Amino acid sequence: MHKTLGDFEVLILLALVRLKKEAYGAAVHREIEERTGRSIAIGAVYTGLARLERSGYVSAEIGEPTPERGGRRKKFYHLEAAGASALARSLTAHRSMVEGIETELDLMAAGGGEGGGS
Amino acid sequence: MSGPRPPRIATALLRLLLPRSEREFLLGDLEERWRERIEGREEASSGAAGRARLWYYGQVLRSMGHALRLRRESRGLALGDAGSLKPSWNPLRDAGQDLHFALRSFRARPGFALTAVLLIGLGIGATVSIFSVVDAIVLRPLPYPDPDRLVFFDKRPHSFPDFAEWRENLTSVSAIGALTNAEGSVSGDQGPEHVWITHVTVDFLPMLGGVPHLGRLFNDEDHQRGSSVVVLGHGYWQQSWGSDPGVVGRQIQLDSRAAEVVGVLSPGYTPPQAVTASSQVDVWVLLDESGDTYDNRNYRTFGVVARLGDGVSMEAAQSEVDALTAALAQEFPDFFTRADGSMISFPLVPLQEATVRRVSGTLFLVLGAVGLMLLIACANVANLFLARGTARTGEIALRGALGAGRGRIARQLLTESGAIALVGGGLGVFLAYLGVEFFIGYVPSDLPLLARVSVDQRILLFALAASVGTGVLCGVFPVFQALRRSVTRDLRETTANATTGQDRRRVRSGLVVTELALTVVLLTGAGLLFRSLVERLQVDPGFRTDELVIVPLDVASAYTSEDRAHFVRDLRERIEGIPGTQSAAAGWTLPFALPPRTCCWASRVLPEGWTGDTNVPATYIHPVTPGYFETLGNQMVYGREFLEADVEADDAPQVVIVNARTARRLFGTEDAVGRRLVIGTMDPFEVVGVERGVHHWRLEEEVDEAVYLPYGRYGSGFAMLHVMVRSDIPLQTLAPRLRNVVRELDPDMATDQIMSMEQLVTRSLAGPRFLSVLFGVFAGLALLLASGGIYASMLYTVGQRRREMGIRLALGADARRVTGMVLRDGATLTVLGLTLGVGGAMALSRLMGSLLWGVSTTDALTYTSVCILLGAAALAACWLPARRATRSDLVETLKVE
Repeated sequence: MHKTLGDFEVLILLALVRLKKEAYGAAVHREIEERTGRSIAIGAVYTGLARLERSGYVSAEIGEPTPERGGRRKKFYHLEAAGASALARSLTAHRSMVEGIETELDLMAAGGGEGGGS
Repeated sequence: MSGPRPPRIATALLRLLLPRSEREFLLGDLEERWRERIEGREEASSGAAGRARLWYYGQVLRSMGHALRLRRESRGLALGDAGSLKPSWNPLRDAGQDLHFALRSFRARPGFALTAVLLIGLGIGATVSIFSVVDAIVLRPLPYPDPDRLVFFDKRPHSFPDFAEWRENLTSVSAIGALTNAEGSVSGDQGPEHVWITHVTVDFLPMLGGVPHLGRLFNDEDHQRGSSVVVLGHGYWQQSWGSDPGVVGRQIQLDSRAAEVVGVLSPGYTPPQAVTASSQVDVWVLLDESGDTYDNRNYRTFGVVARLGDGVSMEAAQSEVDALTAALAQEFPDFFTRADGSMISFPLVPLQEATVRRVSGTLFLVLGAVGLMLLIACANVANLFLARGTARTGEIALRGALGAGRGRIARQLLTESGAIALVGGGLGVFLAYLGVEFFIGYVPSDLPLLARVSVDQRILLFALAASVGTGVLCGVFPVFQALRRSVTRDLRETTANATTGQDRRRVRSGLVVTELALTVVLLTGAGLLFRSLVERLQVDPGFRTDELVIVPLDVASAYTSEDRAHFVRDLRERIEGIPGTQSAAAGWTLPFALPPRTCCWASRVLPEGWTGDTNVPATYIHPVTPGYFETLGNQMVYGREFLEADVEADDAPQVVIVNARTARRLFGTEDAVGRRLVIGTMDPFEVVGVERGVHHWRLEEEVDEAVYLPYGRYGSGFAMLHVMVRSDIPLQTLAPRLRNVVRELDPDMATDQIMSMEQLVTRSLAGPRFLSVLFGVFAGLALLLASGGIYASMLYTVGQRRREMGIRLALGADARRVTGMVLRDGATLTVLGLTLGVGGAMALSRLMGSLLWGVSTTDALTYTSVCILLGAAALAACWLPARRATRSDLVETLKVE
């Protein structure tokens, strides 16, 4: 039985899918913040990625330094096969829970919260 | 890439916490995100930069816990529950918990917390106060630019020609200046006012960083002016001239002569107190460098300060001075070689050292004493913590059983003691503000640099360090206890059936013994100082100090010597005309009127026709008027006083009076009337009188040799004059009458310094008295603390051993025997403490040897008194709890069990 992904870890993996080859710490951080509207600690991204790496869901590769980073290198993360299937399982589970109640969920999102990007 | 960079300190903090493997990447990401926030804006507004900073700080704070987790993880440890991102180790959160817990437990037992805070506040308050003083006076550099480049020509006041040689020839100094002190009067609308004057050379003030607040300082052209040129001190300008800016350029009357004010000094300027008599200089006068005194190598009244050139070491400068002295010795052997052929030397000393060396030893001693007092307070608080610890044994054990690691428990205890110590420290700082005010108000004012004593940032840092140290010291005992105990054993015991807790009691007893020992040391110090004071007061000054009034006068340089002689004669007549006065006389200086050897004329005195060794130390010469000894109340052993006739006729024989010691040296007998002696290179004098011997400077010094000459002929060349009046009229009534007399003769002469001889003698003891009081206060507090400590400890022990004692009483033991048991324990501790204390006091009292007088560091009377005093206090503190031990409710305790 594989371990289930936590909510934040799912977001990280989704960001990795979106960013494809350009998935490094700051990019993931930016992507999650801009899309979910949450304020995330950069450290949290790192601990999340570290755990995912330990579980074998992602792998890392070191890149080139750039001046915007004070001359520091970037660490790029790639989704591994195990990670992809874990993500798929998670999303499937999600979807099946959402199935059939989409309208009510939309009503809740429109009335209750202000939606994303607040 | 240049340009803005993210906040450095926050970055460094995070870098510290991150493991190496992630450091570079995370910080890089953080910087990238930060830069987006700054450069995303079209308008480079400072608002954006500020917000970006804030965001950065927030990120750092929130990522700290994550960083630590990453660190632990990179060492292969577990990361915590899968899926949960709440960090399992957050030091901030734990500390907050500890504090919360600590505060709750204090609220449960407020008495404990309050007592502990008060004790620590007291200890730290006193320590911080004294440290403020030590810091301001001894530790901080002098308030001049590059103060470590300033040197002082040590050992004696110098003559102006010597100074001129140095000024002209020394290349290793970039600036050199001379000064000499005087007092005088300035005539204003309210009449003449006494002022402190310092005469300086042109570049003296700028060399020490003086800047003008108004107008300017001296320059070379000022030498060409007709009248004196002066600069006013800031304080004096505010007080006596009402901060009037119009004073610049004005002519004032200084010592009845016109003087032009060219400027006012800035407020912060401190005259160098290695050289100036008072800490405030009212008027700075430019030395005009013309006139006889400036050519006379014998007239030594100048202090010399120099600034070393860039890169020049003091050794190099000293060599140059020595070489110059050698060259001068060739040219002027009389002045630069001693009678035995050795060359005199002019040692250079850093100005800082010269300024504080007189008092630094004493100040450090006081700091040590107050430190001991703090230790005693800490021991008391540690005892309190231990006693409390016993009561909480069960609670702590429970926490241990529930999984709190020993380290965690230790941290909790340290948090508690730390919290108490910090609050106590805060109280202490508040008390220190008060303490410093008190100190400045009461300390004898000749302490250098006193004006800059204050509780500032450095001091607050020290207070923080002291508080933290105290917290650790007080908390360390309960922490050790907590770390050693076995959890299961503690869970089984309750307070009621606890065994005596042997090791805990041993520590508490040890603390009590330490307190006692330290108190003995402080009491002994105070006792020795007190006895020194008393011994000094019992010295016979050689004259009657009662009913004697002193009038210091500055008979202005506008007077000729003859005028002065007439003035003094008239003054004496008129004063003696005041009903109620018995006699009046005057001299250049009087006993106790001046700090030791700050002025004065000294020369070699030898019998006429002496052919033996002429290498004798110089004898002080005192010009005095007729009636001097009668007014002092000092008997002439042989012969007579001076008469007016001795100076009236030009061809009157030269006469001299000597004191008994001088007579013995010169002639082998005190009966020296009729014998003749030679002073320096002057023509011979005939001795007409021998006086018993008077203490001129301080009570604790031996009576020096002294030689007296008639004032009319030999004293009237000097402006300084002291008049004394013997009268049974009280000072308040006599003083105005004396002022009137002086005003009749010269309306411009300042007379605001009239005081009684008794006041002068008392003033000469101000230092020893203050020190004695200070030590007395510390010792008294220590005594209270130690007694309180014993009392509390005994009380607690009795409480612990209730059950045992109840049993004994129930079995028929005599109540007195039970009391005796407790007392015996207390007595053992006391004896142990006293023994250690006496040993320590004997060793440490050697450090205060230079402050003692008339009493040895192992004075039996002092040590015995201290032991009796402390022993009695300690036993009394034991007796009360011992009595409680026998009360019948103890038997009730048994029944409760």
